[in-house]
Amino acid sequence: MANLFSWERLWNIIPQLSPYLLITFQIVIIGLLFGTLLGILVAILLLNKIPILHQLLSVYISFMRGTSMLIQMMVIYYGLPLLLNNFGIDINGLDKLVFVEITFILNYGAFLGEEFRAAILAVPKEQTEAGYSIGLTWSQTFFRIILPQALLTALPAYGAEAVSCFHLTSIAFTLGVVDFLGRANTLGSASGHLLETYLYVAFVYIVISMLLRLGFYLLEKKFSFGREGVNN
Amino acid sequence: MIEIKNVKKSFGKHEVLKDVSLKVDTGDVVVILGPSGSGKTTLLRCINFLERADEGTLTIEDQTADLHTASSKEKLQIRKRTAFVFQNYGLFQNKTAIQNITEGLITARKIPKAEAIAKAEEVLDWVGMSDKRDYYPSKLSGGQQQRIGIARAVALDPDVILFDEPTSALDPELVGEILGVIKKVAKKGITMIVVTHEMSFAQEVASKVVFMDGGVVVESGTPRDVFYYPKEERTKKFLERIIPQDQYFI
Amino acid sequence: MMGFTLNNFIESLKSGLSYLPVTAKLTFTAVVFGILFGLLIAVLRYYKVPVISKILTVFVTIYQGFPMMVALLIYNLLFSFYIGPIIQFFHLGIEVREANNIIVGYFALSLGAITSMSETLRGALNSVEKLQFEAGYSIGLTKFQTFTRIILPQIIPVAIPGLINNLVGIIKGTSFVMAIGILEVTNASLIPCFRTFSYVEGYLAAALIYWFFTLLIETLLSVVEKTQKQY
Repeated sequence: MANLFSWERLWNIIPQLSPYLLITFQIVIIGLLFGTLLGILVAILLLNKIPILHQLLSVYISFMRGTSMLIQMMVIYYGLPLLLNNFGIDINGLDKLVFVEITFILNYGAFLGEEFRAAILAVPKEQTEAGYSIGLTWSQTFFRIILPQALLTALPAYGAEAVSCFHLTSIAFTLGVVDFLGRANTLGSASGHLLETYLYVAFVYIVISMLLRLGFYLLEKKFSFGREGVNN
Repeated sequence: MIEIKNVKKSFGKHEVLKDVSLKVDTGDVVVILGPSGSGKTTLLRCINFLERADEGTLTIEDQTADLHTASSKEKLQIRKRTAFVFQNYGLFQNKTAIQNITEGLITARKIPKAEAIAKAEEVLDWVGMSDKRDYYPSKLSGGQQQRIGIARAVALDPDVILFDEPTSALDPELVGEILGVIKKVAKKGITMIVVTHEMSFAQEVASKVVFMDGGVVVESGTPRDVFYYPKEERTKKFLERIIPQDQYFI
Repeated sequence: MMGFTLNNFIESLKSGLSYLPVTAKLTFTAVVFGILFGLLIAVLRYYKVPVISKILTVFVTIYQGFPMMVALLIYNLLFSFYIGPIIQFFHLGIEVREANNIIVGYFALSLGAITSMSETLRGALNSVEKLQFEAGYSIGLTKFQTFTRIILPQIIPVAIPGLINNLVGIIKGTSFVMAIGILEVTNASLIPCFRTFSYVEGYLAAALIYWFFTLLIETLLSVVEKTQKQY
């Protein structure tokens, strides 16, 4: 038990492990970026209530909300190649990381889609009318007036999603992806000293989560369209 | 010249506008009066396509559009010739005072940015809001917001400005100053259709008063005709309730 | 990789469902601890009890930055280190490899539930007006009486939607314990797959089971919310 933990081993691990944070960041950034774009699209489609598509989207969102991302990732990893195979597309050789990213994009597309929808609905109807009244088109009104306000409303929820997205990257290793945690597993198992590696991983996750929260908090203050005084 | 013909509009089973027609000459200030629920606001909203009428046509100068079937292109053309002043100001919450004014000029009317800013500064000054140029609406009082709302409409240089109860969301002590600004707009010779409950404003500024009730135009004429010599029983009843008797028959 | 077979899917579904009690127990335990200790933490922080509230604030803030998966891996590692000595010490008379690490699942899920539910409950507590406390004190109630008789009944309806969200999160989180080899719904759904080497049926079956229960809970919530609106 005496050699369960040693500072020296911890210091040694840091340079070997840290570069793999970039893979983890890549999952977060690609997942959130495309997830946000998909989410905006989902929100627009939901609000327009197009028959059939609306039902399909509801099922998609319900599935993404009702199952864990770990299982979604596995379903996509094992199921998507089978599905696409029916259309003669072979994706078996694809990097596992791609499946992780597809999962993140689809998951956050659904979650953010719901949040953006609610945020868009929270913008008073008069804002749209004011846009129309000065001669803006639907898309000009939506993208220049409504969406910026909706995104601001959704910012606190978005920050929480960003932190959860970062946390959920920790499932990628179960597929064999060598990201931060994946590399920690291989390093730790090889040396037989998993504890130091895991503690370092935990420390990094906690610090970055806090920084993310702080970042979003500052972002909220910055982009408040002068509203912060009213809220106080 | 603006002409609205045979406008009908129902919300579900409730018929809000039953065949309303109205002609407004260039430079006219038309004040629409009537009890709440008489359809006056709906009429205004139909003119700007904020509400889709069930029937009716709208002519602005040389352009005629069907209020029910107008294409989105026609709709946009009409909207670019009209401006709307909202009861709750309707300022874009994500834009500063000056951006609220330049938005329509730059994005909708494709006016060069520098020109738009110069124009916006001019109207801001005209409504006495120059010092609030870079303020977001949430930092402005209701009266200040409505000044910007009026400035936004005036800057667009429209064929007609539609005012939808522009003072009814304001604190009583602010009503006068906003009416003052609207009077200034009238003096510029801009065609206006104003829905309001402010009788003294109507008497003083309107070139034509229209009294609506139950989705129809009951009576219209000069303020003098409508206020002092109303022909219809419904008009008389409405005025009796609103204007104190001693003012009524001066 | 083989194609999707309905028979295998049904096998997986049966296998997964037969382990529903395990997942249910994990969820139930976490929720009970979550509500009890979550409420305790929320109250201690709300009343700003000296020292303890500071420590709890730091703990909750840090623990919220701690991913469930990483927590599971660390606790499981510590479990594997210490289970031998513990068995020896208590003379439990079982082999180390027989020791079930499901206790790790209980621990990690409960701790996660406690932190997330404490935040929900604290939010609900903050939504109660100060006046409600003052009104309680003004009629001579003690702090404890005011809390249990006036405040608590008011925060329950406010907290329910958030707590249901926490509950859905916990149910989904139970699937994470598959990563440390605990046999629950997800891993059980995969058992038939080990024969066929086709895993899609197993994961789809697990997904369906979780989806069914989370949908059920969300439907119940919307029913509850509708009846609440009648007041």
